[in-house]
This record gives sequence, structure tokens and C-alpha cells, in this order.
Amino acid sequence: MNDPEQTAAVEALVEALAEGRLDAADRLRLARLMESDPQTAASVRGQLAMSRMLQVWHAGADPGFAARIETLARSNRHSQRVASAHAISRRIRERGLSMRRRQRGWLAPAVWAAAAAILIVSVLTFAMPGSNPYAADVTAGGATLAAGRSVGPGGRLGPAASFTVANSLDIRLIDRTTLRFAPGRYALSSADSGVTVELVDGTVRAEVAAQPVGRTLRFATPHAEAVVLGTSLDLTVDRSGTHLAVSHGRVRLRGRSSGEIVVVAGGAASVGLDGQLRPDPPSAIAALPARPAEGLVDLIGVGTWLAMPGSVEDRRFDDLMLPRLAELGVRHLRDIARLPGGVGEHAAQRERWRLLAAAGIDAMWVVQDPDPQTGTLAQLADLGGGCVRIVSGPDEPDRLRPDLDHAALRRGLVQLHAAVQAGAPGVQVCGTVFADSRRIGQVGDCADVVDFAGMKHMLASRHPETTGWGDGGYGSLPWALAQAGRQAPGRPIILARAGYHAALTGNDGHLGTPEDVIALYLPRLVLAYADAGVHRAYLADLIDREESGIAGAWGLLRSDGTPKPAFHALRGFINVFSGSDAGADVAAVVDPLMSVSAESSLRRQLFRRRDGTSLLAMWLPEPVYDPTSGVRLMPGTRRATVGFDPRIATITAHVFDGEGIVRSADLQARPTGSGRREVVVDVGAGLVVLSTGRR
Amino acid sequence: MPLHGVVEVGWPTAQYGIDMPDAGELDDLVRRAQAGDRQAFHDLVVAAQSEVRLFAAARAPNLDLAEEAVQAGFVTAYERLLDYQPRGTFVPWVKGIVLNRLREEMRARHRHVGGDLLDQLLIEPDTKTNEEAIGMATDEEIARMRSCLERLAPRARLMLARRYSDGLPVARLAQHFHQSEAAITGLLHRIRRSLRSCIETGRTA
Repeated sequence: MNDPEQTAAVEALVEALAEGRLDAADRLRLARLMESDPQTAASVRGQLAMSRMLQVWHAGADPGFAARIETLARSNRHSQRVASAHAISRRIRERGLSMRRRQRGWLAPAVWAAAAAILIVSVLTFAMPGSNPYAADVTAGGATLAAGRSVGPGGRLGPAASFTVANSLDIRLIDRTTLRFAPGRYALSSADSGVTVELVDGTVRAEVAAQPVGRTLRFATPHAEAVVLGTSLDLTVDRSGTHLAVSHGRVRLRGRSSGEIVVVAGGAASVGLDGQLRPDPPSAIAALPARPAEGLVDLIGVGTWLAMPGSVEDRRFDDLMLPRLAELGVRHLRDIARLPGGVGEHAAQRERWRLLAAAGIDAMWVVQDPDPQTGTLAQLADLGGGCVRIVSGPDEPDRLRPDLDHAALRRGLVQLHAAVQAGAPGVQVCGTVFADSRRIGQVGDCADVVDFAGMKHMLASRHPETTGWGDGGYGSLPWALAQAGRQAPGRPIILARAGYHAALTGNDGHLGTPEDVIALYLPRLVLAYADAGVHRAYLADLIDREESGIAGAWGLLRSDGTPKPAFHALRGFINVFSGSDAGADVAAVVDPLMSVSAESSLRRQLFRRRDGTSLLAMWLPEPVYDPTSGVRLMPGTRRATVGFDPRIATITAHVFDGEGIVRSADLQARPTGSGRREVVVDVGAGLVVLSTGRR
Repeated sequence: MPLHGVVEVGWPTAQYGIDMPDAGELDDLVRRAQAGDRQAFHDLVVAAQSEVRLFAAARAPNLDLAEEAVQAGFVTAYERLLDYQPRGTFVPWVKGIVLNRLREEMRARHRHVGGDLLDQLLIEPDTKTNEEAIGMATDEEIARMRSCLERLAPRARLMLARRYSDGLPVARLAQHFHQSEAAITGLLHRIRRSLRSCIETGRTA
């Protein structure tokens, strides 16, 4: 297989086959290619085998597998016992009949009584349809068969029945699986491999017994096929597609056109009219104290390197930095305060900051000079125009200026405060940020000269809610805030650098985080900061620096300007919490959220937008990645049931994933007996935000 | 059908690691299970399932059949546990059962597949002896797989996670990684080929 074109063709066919989207013509084409060249055949088989192994590897251990094996084994034993009882009763019956033949004419009444008992046992035994895997006994409701005949309780559907249900129909299969059909059109068919339930339209609810080895219960719809692995499920076909909800157990759902397969375990999935798998529309909300969504968005800042000559931001301010900032929606930057060398450069820089200010963006500048003068601050204020709102003391002086002792650093902060008062009134001061955060308190109490305590919070690949990874909760958010509090007790806290880098290798032991994990963690991190009362957090950074290792891996954007998943996630987050809802009733005063019932392990925060929209954020505060082993973790999901005011017209769910994609879908809610409406949502490690809209 | 919507927002898992007790520990579990300790059998299945699954995945023409054979293999193991002599070969013993099941099924499919040539060609010619076949997906090979995966470039690992943990089709991968579908397809093939070679020979992927 040396022809590159043929190689590419085979590779494409193999991937299509693996995705289950190879049509008959292409199947034949691939078969011919394999047939004509043993090397190609071996390669295809090898690729597919490796694919399957990788699939199994990535799926990890199946936590319910052992229990299922025991259930199946016991079920097999039960079946064997039934079969054995069946055989014994048959032998007894045959022996009884032969005895009767031999003893005709002189049977005592007691023998007749025994024979009658045996006959009853036999009738009961044979009423169970033995080897027939399919016996659909109608237990409630009724259906009209395709031939026009009606069947009701006590009746039985044949092995290949098409039927229409007007109200409801309950049937029980031989293995004690129960199926409840809502109004709709269906078909049942049976084979050695198991039972297939076809839904043309309608809903079926199933309580499925563990299936004997070699048999499966399948549900087929025009758009999808679901193979049941022993479970409770609801399956519906409507005008938008096929919707599956699994209460417990596992179901393998396959989109007919895409061939994509998803195993749904304790959750839901849908297949659209186009046969493509899609996430099911979610739901929920809670009666929690609501905080302004505006404040949450205002908390977010990003680090930039615009003042650094030759940086990506410097070279590509117009075509990259400015448009990406506008796209992201972040309103606060942290940059370095640097006075340009020449008049021309000064004017150019000044214009940039003016443009940023005009775009509604402000900045915190880091003043690296440990002894800043009033004149310098005045020049900086002029350079930054209206953009600069905060200046901070030197960044990481313990690393960059080890010659400065703590007394000198404190003197520097006092001088910065004085210079700002004189040269840049209105600008606020943030304290010094140390490389080793444990040193922060050694400068002494600076609350008299700073408006904010400064701190950094790098999570070393741990999840935002980590309890830390050293003494005293080292690294955790409470630990970081406690350290910051030592610098300026009582002052609000700014996290001058926060977040994750994605350098998984070449990181000198500073653990990196996969990009998709960062995308999941960042929204949670911002919510954790909001919950802890952080004034602002400057996430590091907007753009990767053009350096190798850690220094070049902090960005939301790659150095070529392309977004990483975290960029999408943060953009989606800001969009959800700052967006307006035209349908919302601003004058509404009734809290739409009435109750929430969820496992205590779920984090919940409620926000209110200025337009009256309520936003409930929920997530499972668990890690999805173990940085020391590189192992991905599966925290699972928790269920929340949320009740809300029936006047709420719509509930929209915004679901964040590891690609940074935020999927939004309107939900349907169920009415409850108390006049409320209710939605249920299973929440995992990815953030779910539910927003309300009024009638 | 519920009137309410339900969504699962779980996180796709990539469990880059399978920790197996050694053969002696497994045999201890077997002895306890043979004495009627149900928890011991449960622990046996938990311990052995990953290796047996990989073994079946490597040999079956598709994952459905692999899963079916693994399930049947463990059920048979449960039923015949008293037949097993604890000699440090529990996992190979289960693999043997699974292999027999797979061979039966594949022979049956060969007979019944009918006109689909591809299905027939995808079933690898069964030329290996039982011993050779059971030697596949051994503890050592699994350790190698882990090591080979860890040695992959981060981007390649991320791509595999996207493909096999998240189940993204090539078209979505192409969007995600800003490459053409053909490039992604070629890359996936190269990654798998080098992984296979690494696992088989122990060389760096």
C-alpha cells in the first residue's frame, strides 16, 4: 500500500467505518481494497483493533460490571432451575401418565389427588412459555393491532405485532421486563437474539430485567437505536427526534445517520431528526440569595503584555488583541507599567490605551520600580489615559529583586501610595505580589497605603475547589486569601495572577493542565472567587507568550491568536452572565426560584441580571484530572430537582463542556401538585447554568 | 417520557491506568470466592475486567461482540469457579473462556454473515494457538500501553482523548484542532500505528 492516494482513501474509509457511517458502496470499496492487498487488510484490521483497544482504555473500568455479572450469573442459575423444574415436572407427568396407564382401574382416590396436583403444577409450568424469549402479556390498557383486532388485559401480543395505543398499554415480557406505552404507534418483534421494540412515534417507559447472555432488548426509532444493558429508561419519539432518559443502568444509543454511539448511564441523550446525537435539553433552579451577575462579570480580568516591546500584544494589537478582547468581553487587564523610550512610541502607546478605554476596558498596571516618584506616576497616568484605574507594587520582587529586603519593599509601597496621591489622583493601589506567597506577610500590615491586598493564585493543575496540597491547605483558595489578608487586613483582595498553564511537559515540575480541563475549571474558578468575595482576579494570560515551557502556555489564546477551549469557555461564561434577555420582565419582583433539592455535594450559586433574569449556576466541585499521574477522573453526576414559580415561561440551560462550548437549550418543565413547576438536572464537573424568562 | 428534561453533564473519562493485583492475590480472592465469599468474586471481576476487556477488544471484530464475550466469559467463570485450580492463572483462564466464546461467535458469523464481504474480511484469520492468543493484552503489554500513551506528545494524547473518551468524530476533531479532516485522519492512523508498534516492541511511540 505505497500509493499515497490509496493510503489516504483507506484511512478515510477506516475512520468512517469506526464511526459507523460507511455506506454499502464504501463498505464494498474497502472490502475490495483489503481483498486485493493482504498488507492493506492487515493494516485495516490492526488500525481497527487499536481503535477498539483505545476505546476500551479510555472508557476505563465499568463500575457496575461486577454487580451485573453476579446478577446475570444468578439469573442464569434461576433460569436453569426453572428449566430443571420444568424437566422434572415433565418427567413426573410422564411417569404419572405411565403409572396411570399401568395402574388404570385400581387407582386410589389419594393417587388421583396427587395426579391432580401434578397436573396443576404442569399447567402452571407450561403457562410460562419456556424457550420462547418473547411473550408479551398485556397487563393493563389496550392496543389495536395492525389487523384491526383489539387486545386488552390478559391478552397476548404475537411475536411480530404492529399496534396502535390510544390511551396506554402495559405489557410484561417473559424475563419480567415491563413496558408501558403512551399513545403512539409501535411494533414488537422477537428473535433468538432478543426482543426489538420499534417506535414510529410515542413514548415507552421500560423497567428492563438483566438480559440473559446472548440476548438484548433493542429499541429502534426512525433516528436511532438503543441497546439496553439492564436498566430503567424512558424513550420518546417526537417531532424533534428521539429522546432517551436513563434512570439507572446503561443504554447504548446510536444515531442512525452519524453512527455515533453513546452509552448513557443515569442521564439522558437525544438523537435529532438528522440522526445525529445531541445533548438532551437540561433543566433546574434554586431559592438561594441572589447576587448581581454584573459583579460576577466585573470580577474577571486577564493578564496582557502590551507594554512589553515585541510581545504578541505589541505586534498584533490591532488585528488580534483588540478584536479578541472585544469577542471575549473581559473589561479589565493587568499589564506592566513602562514608560516608552521615545516620543513616537509614547504617542502610539497612548493611542492604544485610549482605544482600550474607549472599548470600556480598564487596566491595572504593575509598577516594577521599587521607588516610584510622583513625576513618573504622572507620566504613567498620562500614558494610560483613562484606562489605568489601579497600580500595584512590584511583581514577584522576592524572585526578580532579591536584593530588596522587606523594609525596602514596604517603603516602596508607601512611596507608590504617595506618588499616586500626588501624580495620579483617583487611581487605586494594590499591594505587592510575591512569587512565594508565604512571604507576603513579612512586609507587615500595609492596609494604610493600599486599597487592595495583592495575591496570586496558581492552582498547579488542581481543581478550583481544592483543599490544598501542602501544610495548612497550601495552594487552596482559602489559604491564598488568608495570606493576602496578612498584607492588608480588611482590604478587598485582588488576585493579580490566577489560573492554569497548559505545559504538560517541559514545565520544570510545575504541573500543567490539559487545555480541555482548564476550560472546565475556569468558569468554576471564577465562581469560587465570587463566592469567596474576591474583588478581581486577573486570569493568566490573554495570549501565550512566544516562549517554550510554562512561560508560553498561560494563554487563553495561542500565540498565533487561535483560541484555546478556555477562551471559548470564558467567553461563553461572560456572555451568559452579562447577556440581556429581551423577554424578561424587569419589574418582576417575585423570586422565580422556589426550591432546590439536590445532593449537598453540588455547588450552587444564584445570580440576578439587571434585566431581571435569574441565573442558577451548579457544578460538582470535583477534579477531572489527577496532575501527578496524568489520569483523567470521572466524578460522575448528581441530581438536582428545582421548583420555580409557574409564571416562569422558559428555563434555559447553558451547559459548559471541555471544548469550551456552551450549549444552550430551552427546557420543558413538569407541573407539580403544589402549583409549582419543576425541572430535574443531573450535574457533573462541567458548569450548568439555568436562566429564567417570564411569561 | 418525563415531562422534565434531564441532562447528564458528566466528564468524559480517560483512565490511563489499570492497576491489577498480582496473580497470587487474585488466587487468594479465587479461594475465598470458591468458599462462597461473594465480595471476593466481585473483587475478582473488578480486578480482572480491564485486562480481559482489552484482550477481547484486540480480537473481536467489534466492541459489541467483545463486550458480549467478556460478559459471557465472566458469567461462565462464576459458574465454573470450582473448576479453576489456583495456579496463578486466573486471568488467562478467563481469557481462554472469552476466546472460546469469541471463536464460536466468529465462526457463526462467518456462516451467517452472507453477502457482506467486509464483515468477513474484518474477522482476522484465526491462526494463533490458544496459548499465543491468550498471551495478548498481558499485564506487561498493558503496562507498555500505559507507558506508550504517556510518551505521546500532549497534542496526540489530547486528540486520542477527544476521539476515544469523548467519542468525537473526525469532522469535530478537525474543527477542534483547526486541521483538515484528511490531516486528522492521517494523524490518527499514524498515532495508532506508532502505538501498536510501541506496544508490540516496547519502543518509544
